[in-house]
Amino acid sequence: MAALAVAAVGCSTTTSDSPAPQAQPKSGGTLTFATDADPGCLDPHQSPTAASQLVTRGVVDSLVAQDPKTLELKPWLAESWTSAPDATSFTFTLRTGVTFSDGAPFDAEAVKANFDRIVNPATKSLLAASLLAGYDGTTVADPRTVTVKFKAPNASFPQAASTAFLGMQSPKAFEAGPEAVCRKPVGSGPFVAAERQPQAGITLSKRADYNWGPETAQQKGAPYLDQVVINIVPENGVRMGSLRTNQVDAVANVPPKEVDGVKAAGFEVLSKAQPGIAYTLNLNAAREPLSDVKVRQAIAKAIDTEALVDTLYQGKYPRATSVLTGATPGYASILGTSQFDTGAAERLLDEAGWKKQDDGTRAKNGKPLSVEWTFITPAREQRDLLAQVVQQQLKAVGVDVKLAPMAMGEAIAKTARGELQMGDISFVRADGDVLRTVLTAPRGGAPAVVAPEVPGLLSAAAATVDDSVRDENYAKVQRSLIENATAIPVYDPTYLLGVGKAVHGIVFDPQGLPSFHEAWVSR
Amino acid sequence: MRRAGFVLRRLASAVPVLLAVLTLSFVMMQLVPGDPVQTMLSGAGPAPTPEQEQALRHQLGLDRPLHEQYFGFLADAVRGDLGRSVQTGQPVVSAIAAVAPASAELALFALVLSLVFGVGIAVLGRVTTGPLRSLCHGVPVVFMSTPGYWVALVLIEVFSFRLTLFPATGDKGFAALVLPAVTLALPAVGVIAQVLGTSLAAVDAEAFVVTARAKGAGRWRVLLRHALRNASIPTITLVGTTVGNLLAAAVIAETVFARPGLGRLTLQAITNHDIPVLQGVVALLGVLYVVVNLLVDLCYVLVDPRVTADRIRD
Repeated sequence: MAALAVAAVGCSTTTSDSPAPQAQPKSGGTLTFATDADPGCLDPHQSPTAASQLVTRGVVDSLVAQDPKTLELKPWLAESWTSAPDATSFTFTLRTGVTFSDGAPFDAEAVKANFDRIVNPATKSLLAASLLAGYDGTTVADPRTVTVKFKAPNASFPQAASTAFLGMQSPKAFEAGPEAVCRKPVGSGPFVAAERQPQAGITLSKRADYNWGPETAQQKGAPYLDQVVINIVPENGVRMGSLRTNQVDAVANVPPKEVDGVKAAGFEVLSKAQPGIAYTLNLNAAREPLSDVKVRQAIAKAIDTEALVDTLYQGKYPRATSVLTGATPGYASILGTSQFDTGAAERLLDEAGWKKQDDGTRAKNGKPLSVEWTFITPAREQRDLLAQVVQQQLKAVGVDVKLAPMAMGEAIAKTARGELQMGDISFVRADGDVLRTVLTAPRGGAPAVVAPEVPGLLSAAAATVDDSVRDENYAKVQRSLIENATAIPVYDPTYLLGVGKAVHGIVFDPQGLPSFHEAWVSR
Repeated sequence: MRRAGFVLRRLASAVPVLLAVLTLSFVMMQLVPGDPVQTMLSGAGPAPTPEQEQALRHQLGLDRPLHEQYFGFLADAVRGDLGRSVQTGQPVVSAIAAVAPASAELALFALVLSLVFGVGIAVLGRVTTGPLRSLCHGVPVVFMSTPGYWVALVLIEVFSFRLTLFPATGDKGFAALVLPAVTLALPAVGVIAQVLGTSLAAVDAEAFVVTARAKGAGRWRVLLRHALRNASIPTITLVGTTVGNLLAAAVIAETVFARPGLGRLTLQAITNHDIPVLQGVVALLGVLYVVVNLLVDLCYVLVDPRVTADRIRD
């Protein structure tokens, strides 16, 4: 497991007037944060994006908290919970005295209202509903006791319940309809979101009477900051310049090539490897010409992931060694050394009957070797550049790749229809069960499963709380995806956060996103 | 009286133009690949059933014959209902209304800057001599041919990051308006300065200018009283088209300076294949062009007594 870069943010030691890293936290003030991606809908039940979670994590609390260091589950809004032996039902005992910021009480009925809403098709959940796959209803025993039931085992449900996606929102706020919740989610969290105007920034204000922080947090009460203002600044140069000139206090997604310069200027760059599915290219074995395992293996061997990652990410993002990232429970190192080997790739393609033509392309029975890559846009982390390099690397062995940029919604629909040839995906979740999420529901660009034993391995893992069995099954699934060359892992997504000199106490949550609950500013 | 009639006639002639714009945007929606129903239904859960798809199709009226859809669309548009965003479910009209003020503010300020500096440079180019004159003749070409994206980044680097005079991003207050407005105005300053400069040079040789000079009128008096007014007609036409270009350029300015506005709304709608929002923006642009053209025509009448309302009816 990768070391987690979780620490109170110290100051640069180059300036003499900055306080010591262990200085006493100071209350008050506003932290301005510049992020690169517009979060769009701010309802975690609807939106699947990390950009949205960045905002909503501080607004909604969850039943359970996951420790960012040990990844153990700890109480939060639930004081305790038990799982049925077959992992089909979970009973939570709730904390009392918790209220939502609109005054509505948090109780068993509220938990039921939240889960019922997530699976309701009218909510149009893009992710949360898949974490509740097989949901069979919630029963309220008394105001403090609630049982969530599933039709099939779902051992990782408590972990799923620790994410903001399954966070608790005020049932009273649901009445205004899903679009209203997108603009203003109402939770019981340490921050309260103001109604968001389209495309504008987002303002989070301190909830002064907050005192139910999770066991995993240093700070259980109200946040130090009065306000967090989140601005959307897509242009990398402008975002980084704004940090350097102290126009903002912290910036999201420092471009890897800027990390050293920002550090040299006396700013801190916090790095956190994200758990979940690595950035992976996927080949659909159900579509010609990828139905031939030799063609898929040739493509996997023709891509020089090491060179890609070094050039594009300058060593700031690690090369992926499996479908799961190194920071994910259940990760197994499959590709200790890179599988890049153009000679072997050419041989495999020759064996598969794709003969090299005079112009360097390959063809079989007069048909050119060509693959369409449904590329999800807007692309982050320079994935558009990455795609072009992959295109060139594959061209070198005679595989023609056509890039077909597509919005996420359409890509999901295309994957669901089975029309995808080649796709790309990454997915954040601190549990190996994320494999089930992307392999069994039609995520956009998700890998196709060829080995018949994979679904069985995943549901067996979901049915046991025995970590050794789960790890073993997840390792088999990772190996199967890579050996069948339906998945080609490229890099482990890593959050690079630039922090100004006056900012302290930003920590990463287990999903690898910055949290402002314990942050403070010295000025 | 004649002018009132002129305005009314021009407004009436705007109706077929708007109808054409709406029709074009309807056709555009039919031709764009991608199915709005699937975009709206796509989620992480199980793939939508054909029944769900059919229900939504019916709810959106997409199962009706094309001509019924067309007339329904027109009727809704006349009532000010341009449908809902596929992405957010928000009514298109309110999505546009929410960001339009920010765009209007930016465009108006950019327009003022373009006029002040465009006219200023053209006039200076006439009344000065030597290097300043050459500069006034050379600068417009530079302004016109500099890419907006680059200008925006340079302005931010110099005036925000180095001199810290203006904030680099945001939409709070007048200071935040300056750099994006300058970015937008620069090419327009170039065009206006060049066209007006050329017209002024042409007018300079006209008999009435020579007469005025012969009567002893000074350089400035000739320019301001006689030449400028006569030379301004082509520039007025130009300002009309500039308004449209400002919105196109706003896509870059709003992205780099992180401001909300119509440009970014359009860009977002394009990346998300949000056709109803795109339709709304296109319709708004249609209306804007009609209004701006009307204003331009009125300016002709005010500026040049030789042009009467009757003569520019077509």
